[in-house]
Amino acid sequence: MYDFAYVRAKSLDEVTRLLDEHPNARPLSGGQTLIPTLKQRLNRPSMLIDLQDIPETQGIEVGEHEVSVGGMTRHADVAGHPGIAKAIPALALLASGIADPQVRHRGTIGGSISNNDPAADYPAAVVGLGARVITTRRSIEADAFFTGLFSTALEPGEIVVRVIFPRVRRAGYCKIPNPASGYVMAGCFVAETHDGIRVAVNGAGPCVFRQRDFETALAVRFDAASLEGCGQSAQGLNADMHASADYRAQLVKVAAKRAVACALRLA
Amino acid sequence: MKADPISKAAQGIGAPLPRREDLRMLTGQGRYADDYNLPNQARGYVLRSPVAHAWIRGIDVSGALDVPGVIAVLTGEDYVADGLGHIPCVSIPPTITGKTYHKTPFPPLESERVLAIGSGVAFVVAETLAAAMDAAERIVVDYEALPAAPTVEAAIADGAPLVWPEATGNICFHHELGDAAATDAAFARADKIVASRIRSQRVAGNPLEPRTAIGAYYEAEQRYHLTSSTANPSRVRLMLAEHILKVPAHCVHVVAGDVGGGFGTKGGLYPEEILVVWAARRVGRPVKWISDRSEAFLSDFNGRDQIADAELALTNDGTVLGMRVLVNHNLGCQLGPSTAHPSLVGCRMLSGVYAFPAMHVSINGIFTHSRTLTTYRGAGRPEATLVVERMLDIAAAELGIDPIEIRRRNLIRPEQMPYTTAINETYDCGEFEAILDEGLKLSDWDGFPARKVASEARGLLRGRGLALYIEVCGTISDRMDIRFDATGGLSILAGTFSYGQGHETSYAQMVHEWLGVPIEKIRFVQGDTDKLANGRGTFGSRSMTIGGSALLGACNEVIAKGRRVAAILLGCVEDALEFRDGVYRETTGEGREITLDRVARATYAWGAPKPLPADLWNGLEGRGFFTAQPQNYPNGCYTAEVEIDPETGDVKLDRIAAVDDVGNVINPLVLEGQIHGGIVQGAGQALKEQIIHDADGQLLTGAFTDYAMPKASDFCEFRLGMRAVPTQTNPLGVKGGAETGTVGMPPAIIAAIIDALAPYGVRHIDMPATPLKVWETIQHAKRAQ
Repeated sequence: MYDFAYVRAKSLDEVTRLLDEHPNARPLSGGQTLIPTLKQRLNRPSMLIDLQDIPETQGIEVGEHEVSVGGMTRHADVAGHPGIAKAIPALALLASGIADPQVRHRGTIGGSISNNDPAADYPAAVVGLGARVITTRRSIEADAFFTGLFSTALEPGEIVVRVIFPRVRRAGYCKIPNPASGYVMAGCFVAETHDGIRVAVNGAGPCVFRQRDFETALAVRFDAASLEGCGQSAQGLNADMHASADYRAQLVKVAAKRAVACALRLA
Repeated sequence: MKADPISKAAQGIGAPLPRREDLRMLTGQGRYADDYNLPNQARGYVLRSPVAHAWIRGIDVSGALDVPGVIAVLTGEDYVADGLGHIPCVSIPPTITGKTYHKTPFPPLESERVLAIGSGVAFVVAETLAAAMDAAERIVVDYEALPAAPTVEAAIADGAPLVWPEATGNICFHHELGDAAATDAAFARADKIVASRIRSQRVAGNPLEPRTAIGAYYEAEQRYHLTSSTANPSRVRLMLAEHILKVPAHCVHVVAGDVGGGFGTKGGLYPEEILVVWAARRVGRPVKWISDRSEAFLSDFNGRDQIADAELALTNDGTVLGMRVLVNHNLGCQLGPSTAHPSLVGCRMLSGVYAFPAMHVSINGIFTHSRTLTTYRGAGRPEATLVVERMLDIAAAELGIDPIEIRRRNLIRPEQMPYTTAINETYDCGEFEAILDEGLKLSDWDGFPARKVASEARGLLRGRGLALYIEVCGTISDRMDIRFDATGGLSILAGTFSYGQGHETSYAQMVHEWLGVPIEKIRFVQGDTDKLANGRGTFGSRSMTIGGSALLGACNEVIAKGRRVAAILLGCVEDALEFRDGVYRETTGEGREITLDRVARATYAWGAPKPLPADLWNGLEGRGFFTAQPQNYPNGCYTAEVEIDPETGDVKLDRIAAVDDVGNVINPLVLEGQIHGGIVQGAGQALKEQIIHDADGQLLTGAFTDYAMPKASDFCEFRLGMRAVPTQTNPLGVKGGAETGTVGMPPAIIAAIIDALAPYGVRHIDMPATPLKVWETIQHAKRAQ
């Protein structure tokens, strides 16, 4: 780890100002990706701006139509929140399965979606539920937020403040974990929202994406059997020593069927 | 004088005494190498090669020396200039190879050519680790990259890049076992010949505690000190003194405290252990080096890595007439102390528990552009067992014979014992068919069809597999001392070295059993070369056999010396005294008695009750030695049932049962722990673990995010059974018990997977059977159908 300055910011204004003044500063949320890369000397920020004291990024609010989750909310807090368990049980289920207990007690939703690791869990929930991401500057629709491998619509200096999840009729999630890391090798978040079916696929491609064929099939009948006739193309999917693109394509379909079954079970 | 009787049942040999060391280890009070620091200690950091094979055209350290806090930057040229030696290979006995093998230079830093990813090219010593790392980044190494052959398959291919130009074909040594002509004759009259290539993939030992070393040099005493996480301090001292530093061994002090696992990979001398003592002398300060997990993946010696081309010649009824095996075993780029051991010892077990009448085994030790390989839990026996058991399953499938039946047909019978195999290994005892039957019973083998139906109803494939194993344990000799103190406490000074095997408990139970000393009064000393006259460490399941038998000798010496003291104190003749349960009793006359405790105290007393001869009046101690000649042969039956999800290729272990014959059991709790650990590591090999290099020799599995370790959630309950056939080759009747799982488990799991995939016509799958590989195997088989 290289030396860096550390500031525990007290307000969003302070964060914005520091990021503006220090082009090589990095915001620090849960640190579950950033800290390991620092330890491996793969990253050399001049300053870390710790977000954990910022009031706007705190807390979970469960409303009649929406669930608002502060960007600094730890995975364990989402997983264990009784209101979320009732309002969007698939979201609590997803959070409860991220990494291990240590990571779940440090890692945050804001950090996870800002990093947009293709093998992360949360992007699937954000896209699958059609959430809105509230930043220091604007509100971004889920479909526009995740733009590619480790990249998002966030501009330099822009910070995730909250994520607003609409309450849906039913939703489910299934991931096939990497046998070594436990990260998502292929996953699927399905939701029957008030505006229709949404199917988000994570782990399989360079970035979370919506599977429109699956959505169309599930709109006819929300049942795992509806997906039997559908296929996932291997084109453009990730390939590594743990999973080829063909295998990932197969796993996407398996995960989708199981996510539907999960949604029916949770409903 | 009347003594209280001592009850041994609760704590003596055979009692499931919880491990005494666990309180320390489980409450954070263990003292591992990283817990030690020496005054004025500096930190060391190894700059490692980012390429597998390259000429070093130059190393410029000038930028590094400018970094604040840097004390020294050492290179391979400095090492050569100081006239120090190379890491020796002590695992190729001339008797085995006929003296013909290629020796490798193995300095701790390379100065001319790097031969594997992660080889050390400079050692930076600085006030802090951060300063050392900063400096390492400023060292400029000019590499001229060369083509690499990082795997056995690449290294034995025509025109492969050579690791050592003098070693043609990358062959370090060649060795043969058995009778080629007799085997040819057997094949000539066979009804059926089956052939297969059986691979045991390269794995990392991954002990929980990464390697750590602290070196110091005491100028006034001209003495080196090393604190290390080594699993064999005495051996490290000898190698450092004799081969590296070239000083008398008393000038080198090696200490190992608690060591958090090693599995065979920490048992030799590593470059970093040399670097810290060398650097300490150069800079005049102690130097500490700690490996992190990433560095461990690059620098620890790995295990396994063998390709065996095997053939069986059979009659139509499944009787094996002959076996032929060509083994190409990876050695890595340089020979470490134990590098040749797995192939040379493992291949001795290629007859398994079977009476194969003719055998011929060829072994090639192969150099590759990869880190040195060494012993890893089982060290060659798992590879051999996989070959034998897979070949029988393949033969059974081809002949249409039940896999159990083909084994029964070829088993060595108890009445054939002692049995000498066609590759000249003599098993002293073993009841293999009985252990097979117990294994079938324990696993509820016959209940499988119903379970298969149940699995299929849930859309899952189910398969069962069985493997019989035999291994060889107990290498050479060792020494154990016991010493009473002036107040009746007793210390065991062990030549073996426990790094997770529970010796602190098992040895205490033995002493308690034999001398009647309460467990609480027994202390355990190991791992400090100033306290031990000699020791050979712990590996190859040797410690209960050799350490335990030597400990018996030490106890017997104490009893004999104590008898002389007791006779003087009681005023009787020695022959009138019997010793039992910690008490000397007069068998005749008045039946007087005296405890060993009082006898021991008397040997230290300033004013003894009666004057004692000088050799008895300076403390009571005993010394025992034992050589395992012949060795012993643990064996057993392992079974596995798996459920496979055909949609994902995921393999779930659903039932595991193991029956072992490890002879008499000292502590069943410790033994079960050893078997559990072995099963888990065996399953890791079968299903998950693999060190993978790309074609250039880059390491693709350099972290736990890519190197898959078995996890608790991967396992079902283990059903364990013991069926002891005590050996007569040591006084305790024990056989090795620490590696059974890594030897017996993999072939059973692989057989179960192939059984589950049988509907697709699958007859073979390589380890590790990852979900991807299983799914691809199914797709391939479906297309072939």
